[in-house]
Amino acid sequence: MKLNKIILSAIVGSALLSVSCTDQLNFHEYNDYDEDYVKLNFANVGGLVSGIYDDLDNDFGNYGGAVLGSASDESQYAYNSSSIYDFYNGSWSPVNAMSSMWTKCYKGIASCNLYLSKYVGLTFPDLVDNEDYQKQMFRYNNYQYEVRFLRAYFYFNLVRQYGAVPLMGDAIPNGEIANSVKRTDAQTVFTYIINQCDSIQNKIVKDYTDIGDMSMGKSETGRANKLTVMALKARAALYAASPLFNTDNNVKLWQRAAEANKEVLDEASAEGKALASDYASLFGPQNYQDADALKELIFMARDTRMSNSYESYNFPFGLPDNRGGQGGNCPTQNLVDAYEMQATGEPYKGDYNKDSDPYAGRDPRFTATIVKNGDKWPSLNTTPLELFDGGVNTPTSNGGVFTGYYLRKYCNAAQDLSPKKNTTSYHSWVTFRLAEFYLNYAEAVFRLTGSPYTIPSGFTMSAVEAIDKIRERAKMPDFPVGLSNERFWEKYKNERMVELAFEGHRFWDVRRWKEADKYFKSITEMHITKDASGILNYERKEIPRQWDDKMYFFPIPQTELLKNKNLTQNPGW
Amino acid sequence: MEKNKIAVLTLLACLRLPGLAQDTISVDSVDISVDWLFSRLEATSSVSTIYNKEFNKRSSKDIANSLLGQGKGLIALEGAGTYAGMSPTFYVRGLQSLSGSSPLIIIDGIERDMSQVSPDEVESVSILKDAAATALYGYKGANGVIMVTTKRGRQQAMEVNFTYDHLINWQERRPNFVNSYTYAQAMNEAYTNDGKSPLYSQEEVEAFKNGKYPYLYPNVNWLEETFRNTGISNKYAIEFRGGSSRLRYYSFLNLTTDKGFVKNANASDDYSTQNSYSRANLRTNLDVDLTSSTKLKFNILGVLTEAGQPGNRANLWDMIYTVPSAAFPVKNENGTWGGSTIWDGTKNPVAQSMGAAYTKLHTRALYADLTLSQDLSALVKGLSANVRVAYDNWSSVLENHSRTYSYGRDIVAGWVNGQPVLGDPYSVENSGNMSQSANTNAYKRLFNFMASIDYNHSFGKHDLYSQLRYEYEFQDSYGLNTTIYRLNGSWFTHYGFNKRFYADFALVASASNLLAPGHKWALSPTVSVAWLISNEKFLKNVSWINLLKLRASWGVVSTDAVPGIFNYWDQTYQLAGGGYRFDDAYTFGEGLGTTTTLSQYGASNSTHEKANKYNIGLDATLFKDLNLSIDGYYQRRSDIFVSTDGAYSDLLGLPAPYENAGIVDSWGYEFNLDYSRKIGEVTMNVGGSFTQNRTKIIEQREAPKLYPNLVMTGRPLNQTYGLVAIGFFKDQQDIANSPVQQFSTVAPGDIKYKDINNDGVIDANDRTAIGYSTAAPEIYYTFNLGAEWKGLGFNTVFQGTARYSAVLNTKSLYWPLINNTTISQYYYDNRWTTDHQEALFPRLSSASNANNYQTNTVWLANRSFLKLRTIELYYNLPKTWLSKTRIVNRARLYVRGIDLFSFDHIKIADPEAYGATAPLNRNVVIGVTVGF
Repeated sequence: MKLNKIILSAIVGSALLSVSCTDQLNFHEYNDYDEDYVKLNFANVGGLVSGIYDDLDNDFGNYGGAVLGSASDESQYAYNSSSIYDFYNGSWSPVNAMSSMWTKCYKGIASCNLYLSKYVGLTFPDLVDNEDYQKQMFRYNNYQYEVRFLRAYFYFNLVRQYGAVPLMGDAIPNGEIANSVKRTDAQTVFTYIINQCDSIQNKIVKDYTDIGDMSMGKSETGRANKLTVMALKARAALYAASPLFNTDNNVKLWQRAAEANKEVLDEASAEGKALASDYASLFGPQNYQDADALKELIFMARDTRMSNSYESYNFPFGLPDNRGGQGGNCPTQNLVDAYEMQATGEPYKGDYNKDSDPYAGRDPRFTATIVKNGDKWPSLNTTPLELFDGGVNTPTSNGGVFTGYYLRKYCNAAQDLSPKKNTTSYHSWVTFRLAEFYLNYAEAVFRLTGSPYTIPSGFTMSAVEAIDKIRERAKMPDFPVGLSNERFWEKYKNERMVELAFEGHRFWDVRRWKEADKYFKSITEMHITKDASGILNYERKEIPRQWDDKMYFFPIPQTELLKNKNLTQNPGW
Repeated sequence: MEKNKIAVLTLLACLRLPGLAQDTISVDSVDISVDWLFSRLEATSSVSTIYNKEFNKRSSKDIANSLLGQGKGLIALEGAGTYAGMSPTFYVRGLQSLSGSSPLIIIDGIERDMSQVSPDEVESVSILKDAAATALYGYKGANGVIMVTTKRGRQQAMEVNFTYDHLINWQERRPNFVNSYTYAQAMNEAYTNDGKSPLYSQEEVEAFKNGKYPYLYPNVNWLEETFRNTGISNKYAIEFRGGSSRLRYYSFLNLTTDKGFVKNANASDDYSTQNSYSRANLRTNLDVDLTSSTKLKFNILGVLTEAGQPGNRANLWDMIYTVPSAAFPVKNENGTWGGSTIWDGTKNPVAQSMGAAYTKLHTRALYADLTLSQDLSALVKGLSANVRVAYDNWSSVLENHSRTYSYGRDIVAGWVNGQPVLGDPYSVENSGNMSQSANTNAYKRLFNFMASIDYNHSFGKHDLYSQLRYEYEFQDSYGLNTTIYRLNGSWFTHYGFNKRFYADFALVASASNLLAPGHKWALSPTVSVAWLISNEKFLKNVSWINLLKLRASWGVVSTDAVPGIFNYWDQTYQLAGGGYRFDDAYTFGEGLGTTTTLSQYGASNSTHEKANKYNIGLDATLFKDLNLSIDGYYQRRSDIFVSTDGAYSDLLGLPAPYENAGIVDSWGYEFNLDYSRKIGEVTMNVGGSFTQNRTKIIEQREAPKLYPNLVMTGRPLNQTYGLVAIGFFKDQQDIANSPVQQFSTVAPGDIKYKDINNDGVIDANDRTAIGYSTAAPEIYYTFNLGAEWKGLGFNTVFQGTARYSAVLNTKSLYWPLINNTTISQYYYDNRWTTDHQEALFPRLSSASNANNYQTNTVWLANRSFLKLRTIELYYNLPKTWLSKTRIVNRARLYVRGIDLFSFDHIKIADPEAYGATAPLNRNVVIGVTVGF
């Protein structure tokens, strides 16, 4: 009977064992981190904000090397393997929706809402005794405003592209919301963006180089500041007032746009900002630390690592020592024609086949933006480029169209693509710079007053005066007096195209003006041939593109419509 | 056929007394893991059992491989690989769930590994199929259970059995790759097809043909240079069995050795580089009656294995499937191994098998369990208690004695006056030092504790058995997220009325650490009933019906199958270095440099996967000799964890959570039959089994698809999807007249696809369901036949599958030349050329050809097969002869053929192993069993 007792006590023991099992049942050995862990220190929470900044857009060749400008009349991508062709070859559709912006922005918005819901108002009690606690808290307390700016910025990218878009509010989205939320009309979204900016612009840090005792060493100039917030508001106000969104030409929207842009210009001058003296320095590899460029630059989407892919997409084809790139984004003759003569301020009226140098005397911004036949480009190339038929730098079997020009803007001239060197550098995408707001101001004031020369009450500059600021920096003559409204509008658009080329504006500007019929139905290539005696022959060739008015807005991806039955498609798609 | 079944029952009854009347007819015992064995008469669940005599005919290395072809509801699919690695895949009732369909393997009550157990030491294997049979396994039993029971001692005089099997192994369907002359022509053709100039000049092609420059233009049959035609295995086993009324024992010792196919394994005097395997098992199973009411059961198995292979754990077969005959010579003129810039010398299979020394994988295992049973009739009549403790341990140690070797080849710079001119040779110098290391590369341990109180009582017409049980288990194996704790508490009751009606009821509460807090426990009820019609008065006098029973069962079985991540319920973050650069110096910002992102949106309101199972069955014995059982079943798996990645719009913006949303239905039927009859001096038997299992995905939170042909919900599990080929492009005209195929630029001879969605282009949206599953066949059937006359007999087992697909994407064999591979003669003979348009395969191309290498109907094959699994001829030496020896009581001589024939549609490769691996073995066995 002794064994008998052993067995019975084992059974009783097993009941006790099951109590101690509770810990074991909760055992797991995963190596991810939960919310409590993230909240433990400043770096983890700061990392959340870093992660949202990572979702900021740039365009260093988002479409297989092609930039969005290659879907406008700025340029043509030389290889038809790029999906950029889909924008105008008929294959753009709700199924092939070119919708990376949709996905990326809503990811950003959800991350912002996650942050704002769970990570605002922390006190980090365990770290109170740390020496840098106050400084860390100062930086931490500013995060919420940065995040709200970022959220508003993502909405701007969405509304610009889709018009009405779902406005997600402040909640962390869940599956049910994602599959049922409706689109909010575009003006409401613009107003949301503007209100968000208004409510944070006086709370966010104004100047990260000037935060006194709260500085932790290096200045975090990469963060959104007061001027950035105002810039977003000003751009959003301009878009909201533009014909694509302001369908009944509500003058109050122009008033708002003019005021918002004035506010940017006023704040900039109050902060000692001004247009940079060297236009090209704004797009160089050192723009983030070039004092001259930094005077003008308001906000940049920074590169997370050094790269040379932009150069490899755009450097000339066929350079010696395998230094060449693909010569992908080729500026059009349309853009070249937009560069006026420096002496007269008028377009080039000569004959390419008669002038010894048809490019001489152009707007200096031409050289900063475009590479032409005979240029020695990039720095390491000492032989003139041959961009004529059969020339060594002319792409041969590219499957697309070579326009006769290569792109210089944003390329690092010193980059060495030869396999042995393969140098890399940072590329900082200019999201906002001061020049844009002079142009925005000019456009808004012109629309508000209906005249290029009138200064509305409460303002200090006319449209032409604002543009002349840009012209002066570019070392171009001022706009002449006595321009008709029509003539002014043409010259304004020309100026905007030239000044902001390849900065991701043209594709959207033509859309918001609703003037795509005029600009996006074809592009012009300059076909250069060289005869036996070495004489170059220039011939313009018009390359047609498909345009349909439905393309003013992007289609909502078909898969999204299938998942969220409350979403509606944009008209025409 | 199986008269020993009664004996089996009696043997097992030593543990528990069934106390139920038994008929003279054969009665399977049914073990569903309560401490109770049910006779076939009173069982209510769907269980079939296979006995040693049936399955132990393949002379296989382990019990898993010996079950191939057995059927009775067990689907066993042969695994490819070398002898050491051969391991079949099992399914019970086919595919069942999105979360996996692997059945639970139980050896003597504990979850253990079949590859460690020799078939000789196994008494029986039971296949537990319906909910009633698997209920007591808690979270682990939803996909069915394969229950292995080892032999035990008997109260008898000592019996010693010695078995020796000698196996001759060969590989029947070895791949046949082209000679270098054909290879050069094929490459030139491929280059021409790709719009390039030919790779080899006419002079070079000729040099491959005439073999004048064997070091520059070699022609190596790598397979024949690397491998020999036969391998040898030997199996020795000795078992001791016997016991007294108070102690019964079974002891078993065996040695299994195999030498593989490496041709020159003994290039070094000091060691062998053969693919070798040896395993020794030592088992003792004891039953001790400590007192008249206290019994002890003790099982222990120790296993040592050693698997040798050439150095660097080189996959020689992969090299055979890669390196062309023209790549380089085996050895260069200067004696170094061949190797080139394209095909590195480490891909030279002969060099790897001879010059790279060796590695050995050792495994050590100890499986031990002890059970104490106490009869408590002194307290309450019929009451008893049991306690069991099991401790298992397995580890694997990799002993590495690899070495590197120097290799290279002569390079032809060009041809001058019809002679090759040598350039700078290519060579890679290596020290050749042998490495010396040993480390544990895998382990597993398990602890199981079980305690139960049983009550067994009969009163009048009522028979009652009831058990309360508690089970605790801990498992841990190498790697992360592998520690598992599980608890089961169960109440099982069996009730019989008047030997005619039976009912079982089980209620199981299970817990697992794999499940979310608050959801760790699940309650699973099962009910099953049986009606023994043959015991009804109206059938008592029907002489040809010996047994007729109807069964039905229903139950909900739970699983703790969780998605790939083990904390699916938590919102978790990833911390990654680097990130956005905030500083004016373009660094991260003081104290930053980390990016924190939400990596997982925790599953909310999670529960666990459930299997709702229904089964009806019929068991019958007719005309005394015909045994029959039929089962029909339906199962709904619900609350299966699925990713909702595709279900929510991008407005979610965060990683989609897992949800308990998947639903899969499966249904099917099983049919088992065997018949044995003695006619005069001849005993003969036939038998067979047939199962069909079908599945349908009802819900899996699939992303909405743009075209109905892409939708996977509503289709079977593991359905193959691909493009439908409608021939090859005849010429450029044909290409111009056809929809654009967007995978890559097509040329004549490329595969032409059907525009399934009629959108005018051929792309991934034209994929549709083609064929069946490649994982498991829908139909699995077996049949066997045997006869014996005066001790001389034969038996055969055939096994087949149907509604089963293969995607033939094996490199070189079916996808030639691309990625620097070679080409099979079969492909070469059946390729498309302008003169051979009615081809089986598309044109040759040397670069990748995305158009042709989409999954499509050209590569889809019918994987159905019928194999002769075993055929055995044996002779039991007459007792009269043996009695004269006074020592030998039994002796049996036999010759076996294993997997000798396969009838199928694939022909040049085995339908069960068509990848770039070792072809399956076929074997002839000569064996002897002697009993003392």
